[in-house]
Amino acid sequence: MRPPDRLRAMGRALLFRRSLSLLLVLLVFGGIMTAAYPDIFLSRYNFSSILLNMSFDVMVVVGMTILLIGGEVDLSVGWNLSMSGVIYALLMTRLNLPLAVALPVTLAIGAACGALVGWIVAYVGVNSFIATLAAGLVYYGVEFWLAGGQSVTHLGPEVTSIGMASWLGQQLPVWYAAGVVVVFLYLMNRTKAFRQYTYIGMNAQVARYSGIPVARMKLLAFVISSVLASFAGLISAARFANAILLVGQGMELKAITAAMVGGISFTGGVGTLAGALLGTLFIALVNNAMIIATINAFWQPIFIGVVLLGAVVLDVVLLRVGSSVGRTRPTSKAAQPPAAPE
Amino acid sequence: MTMGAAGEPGRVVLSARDIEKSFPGVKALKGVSVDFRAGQIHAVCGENGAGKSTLMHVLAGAYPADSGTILYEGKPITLHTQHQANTLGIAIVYQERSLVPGLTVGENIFAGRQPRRLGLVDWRAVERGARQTLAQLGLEIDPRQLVVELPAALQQMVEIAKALSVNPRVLILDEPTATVTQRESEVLFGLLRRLRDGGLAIVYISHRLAEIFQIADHVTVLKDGAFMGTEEVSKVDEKWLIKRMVGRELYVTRAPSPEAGERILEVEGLSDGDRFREVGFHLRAGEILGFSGLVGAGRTEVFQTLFGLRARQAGRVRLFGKPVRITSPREAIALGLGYLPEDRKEQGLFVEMAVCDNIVAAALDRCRRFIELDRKKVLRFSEEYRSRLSIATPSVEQKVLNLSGGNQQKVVLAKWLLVNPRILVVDEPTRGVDVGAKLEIYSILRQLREGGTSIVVISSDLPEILSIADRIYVMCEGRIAGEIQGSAATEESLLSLSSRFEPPGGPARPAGGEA
Amino acid sequence: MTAGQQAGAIRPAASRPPGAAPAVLRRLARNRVAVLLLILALYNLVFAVLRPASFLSLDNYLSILVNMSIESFIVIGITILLVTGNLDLSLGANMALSGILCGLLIKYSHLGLGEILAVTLVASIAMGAVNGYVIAYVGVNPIITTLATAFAYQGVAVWLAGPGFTDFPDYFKVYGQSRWLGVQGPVWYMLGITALFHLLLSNAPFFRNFYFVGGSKRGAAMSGIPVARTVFSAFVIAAVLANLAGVVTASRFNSSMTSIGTGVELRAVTAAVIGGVAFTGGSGTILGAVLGALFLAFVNNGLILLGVEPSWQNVVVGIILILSIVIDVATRRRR
Repeated sequence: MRPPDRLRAMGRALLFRRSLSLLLVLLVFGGIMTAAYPDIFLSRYNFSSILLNMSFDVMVVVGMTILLIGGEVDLSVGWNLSMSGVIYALLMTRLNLPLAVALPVTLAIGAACGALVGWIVAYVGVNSFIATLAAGLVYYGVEFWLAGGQSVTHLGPEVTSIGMASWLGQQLPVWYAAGVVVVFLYLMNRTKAFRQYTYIGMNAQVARYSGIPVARMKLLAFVISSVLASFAGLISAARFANAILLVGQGMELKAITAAMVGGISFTGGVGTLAGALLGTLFIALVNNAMIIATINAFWQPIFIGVVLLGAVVLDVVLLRVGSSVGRTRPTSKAAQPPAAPE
Repeated sequence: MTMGAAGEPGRVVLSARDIEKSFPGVKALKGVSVDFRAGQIHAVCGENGAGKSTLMHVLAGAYPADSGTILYEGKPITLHTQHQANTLGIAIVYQERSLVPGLTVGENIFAGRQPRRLGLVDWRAVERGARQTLAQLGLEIDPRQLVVELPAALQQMVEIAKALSVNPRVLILDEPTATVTQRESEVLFGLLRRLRDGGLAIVYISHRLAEIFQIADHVTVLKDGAFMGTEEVSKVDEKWLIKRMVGRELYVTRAPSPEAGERILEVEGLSDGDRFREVGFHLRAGEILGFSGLVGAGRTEVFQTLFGLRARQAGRVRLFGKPVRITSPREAIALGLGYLPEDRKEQGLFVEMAVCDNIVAAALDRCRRFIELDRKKVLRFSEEYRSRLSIATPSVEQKVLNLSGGNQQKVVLAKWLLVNPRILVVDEPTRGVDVGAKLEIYSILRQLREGGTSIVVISSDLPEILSIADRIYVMCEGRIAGEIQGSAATEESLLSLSSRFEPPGGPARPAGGEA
Repeated sequence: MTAGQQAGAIRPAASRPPGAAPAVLRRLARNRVAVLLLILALYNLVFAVLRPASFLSLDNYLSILVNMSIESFIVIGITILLVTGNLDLSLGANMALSGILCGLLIKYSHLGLGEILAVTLVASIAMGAVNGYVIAYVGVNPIITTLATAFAYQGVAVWLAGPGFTDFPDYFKVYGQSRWLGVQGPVWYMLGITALFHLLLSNAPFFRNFYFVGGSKRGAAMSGIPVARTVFSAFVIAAVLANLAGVVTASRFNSSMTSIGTGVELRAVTAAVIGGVAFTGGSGTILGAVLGALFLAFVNNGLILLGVEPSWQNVVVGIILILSIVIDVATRRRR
């Protein structure tokens, strides 16, 4: 099977410059929306609301991207996010703890949950899909039990103080997300410690043999992802003055979709955080467009599902094209024949 | 012996005529023609990348040839799938297992074609048929046993039994002794001889020259995808083979041993509770220490334990005079140890990553500027080691995947040199490496010793150990069987120590005890 | 190449390789069904002492059985998929959509029941086929694929139904609500389907192929087993079972809701793993998996009898799932 050269070149461009092609798609998409809905789409209000909606996704995407690059996944972040909002709200309303205590305690619980799941995956060796699915089930149960089956509503000013205000015309969650993005873009792109995730995701065994602390880094990734989800959850409760039950449902899928649209490979080691963030922007813009075009809200999950399916199929197909691209420039006689087809 | 369709010995069963096969960017087979005859074992040898496995895949229908014909029983055939080849009578046994561990031996043998009664599997017929097949091969294996419960060598036998159960006329074996011990190979060879005498044509792929003289009737040599000649084994010698495989004769010369320094690594009573026990040895500064023994003797496991890759159960380790307890490779590296693992693809290399990323993988801390990873240092170090080890790659940004076996191994070596180990352990350093690169690797190791690094070479290749090691320990069945000075060692002395102890569960404990 | 594979020389089959478990333990591990029966017997004994009045009644046993009955279809589907080395997390959504489609057609169409069932069955098969095609022929990771399609299928269900449909005619309700010999219909369905699939998976050549595909793809292909087609059909079979689960649920509860399938796949995976189905493919039996489901049903029942809040059930299932996989991983490693 040899695709025509043109197709292969296109595949190569898509594979190696996913951020570029995604940026192009975003520009075209923005152009179409501007032409179709000039007053609504380009309004300051719409801009702010896209950013606000994105900000919670962004925090989850950052954690998920680190995990995916390291070759793992966390399917419990949505449940974790919901549970953390409830925990934060209850700590302040039911236990009357001050913000300065409730905030760190909620994040610490998030960290502990992440550490436990990370330990089960990294040290015990359980498949992360199933471990985090199970953890999600536990969070879900705990959330319902704590909240007594009802959202915690009408949160007071102290609770909401960290979410409701604005600064320089943008709401606080947007600034938090921006901070998270800046910090983790630096960490992932520049630091030695986080560079290790690429090695781990490429081949965890080789990484271990090379002295990279694989298990410890994986555990750290789960903690980061879990703390970010907790933070997103408590900020969401603060911003909307309600700790809504199951507010994070489906968040993990949205995050995986965004990351994969942005060029993160499901097999680990491939892709960049910047790409994943562009993917998040893409999903947010499309959701926004659906709202502006008053497309029924039921279509949103269908859309996410279809886009995710498309992204994973593309991932597999491009990897295949990519590896045959790789083989067009071997330097020696010893290029191994490809594995026997089934 | 009734296995295999009998044919008069010497009749050509399968032939390849001018087979050509290209992969993008590389011509894997350049017009290869070979005849395989009934009642003969025909070895196909060549270095890694010579095209032997490509030829085998083409003959077995795994992928089509670009041009040329395959004649089976004199008629040209076109193969689309391996199963098609299988049904015609061409069976193949790959290096990797194809058995399902959780199913019984019998069912595995009859995979995909279980005898049926009323549309359901006839389990009695499965058992009966499998028992018959196994008995014909002289194997006493209960077909009702689960494959997972069998030792590796018996699984290999079941694999062959499965291949033979369709009564093929040609059996292709891909490096069948790669994962079994010497003693197990003997049993395998016995089986193959009986099959040959029953009229089967056997194609035996190997790069172990000694084996070819032990078992094969004919030998075909491939080099860089080209046909280098077929000859009767009785008419050729090792030199002849090597000359055709590499185009020159292999000279390995012993270097004089240097003055032995003080003991920098001392190990006493080391056990992991599983693969080795009561292992004791020492390494002196500035020597090359050899670890010989059969595959599975526990050599790799000992050093994996020292390197913090496996848990230790008992024993004391003194490194540079201080007692240490290493629990992770990271600690080991910090203490001045390096370990080049035996499995390049699964333990040594990030094949999908660039050469430079691989070279710095174990020494990321050396490429740091505060907490940042300094790309310039990464490139500088890579370039330095690329030229020092003369790694043939157009650029250090090239993916390792695209390098030859020898150059890949040099990349792994570069990775370990970059951490500046005081003690470097190399496990099968020249496995799957062509002869030219082999010699280069030996000279790199000697240079390292000149530079003050002490080296441990674990190798199953006796000439290799003999030519490079100053002192040799031989392991057998998880214990040290003996210690020999390099200059005094011979293949015979190493071999006899390698089988000094009975395997556990064997009849008697040896009187000799530990070394 | 694991360390274990290198071990040892050729020995008579009777002697065991070093480091392997003693024969009795090994045989027990092989026979998960016996272990589960033993655990279930112990469990019954404990509860017979703890809660003699509420536990030891025919009604309680029947309610345990009827409560697990419908999910057992999903357990069987998941087991078949796990054996092939795959997983389908869209079975709950498939189940929900089947029920919704069935309800929609019963309420708002003039089709006969046979035609309605045929239409929903075709829809389910199509959902399974999409999963199977993408996974078996394109080669995408099954978990992520079915997570994506679950989202889409669930979305379609919500789009079609809003909250759901209720008040079905008697000719439909009778399938889920009638009793025979004092036992509800769904329990009989469970027994029948379990027996049928256990028999098929243990003895039918086509179903044995699932084990070969799950154990070694390459080996299966070399033996002439059509790997992609086999995996594809496993997804379709699981989808058919999900369809059955959705329709019987609608009939039994006289309503079809979009939320019925939520989390069912996870409970099914838990049951299967408890029942000895390997997460890595190539081994496990239907009987074991259904007994695993029975064990979970007993645990849920026990929690209720002990007065534990229902929200804890998820927590317990989650913990049991993790524990059973940890044990699975640990015992496999020891071999």
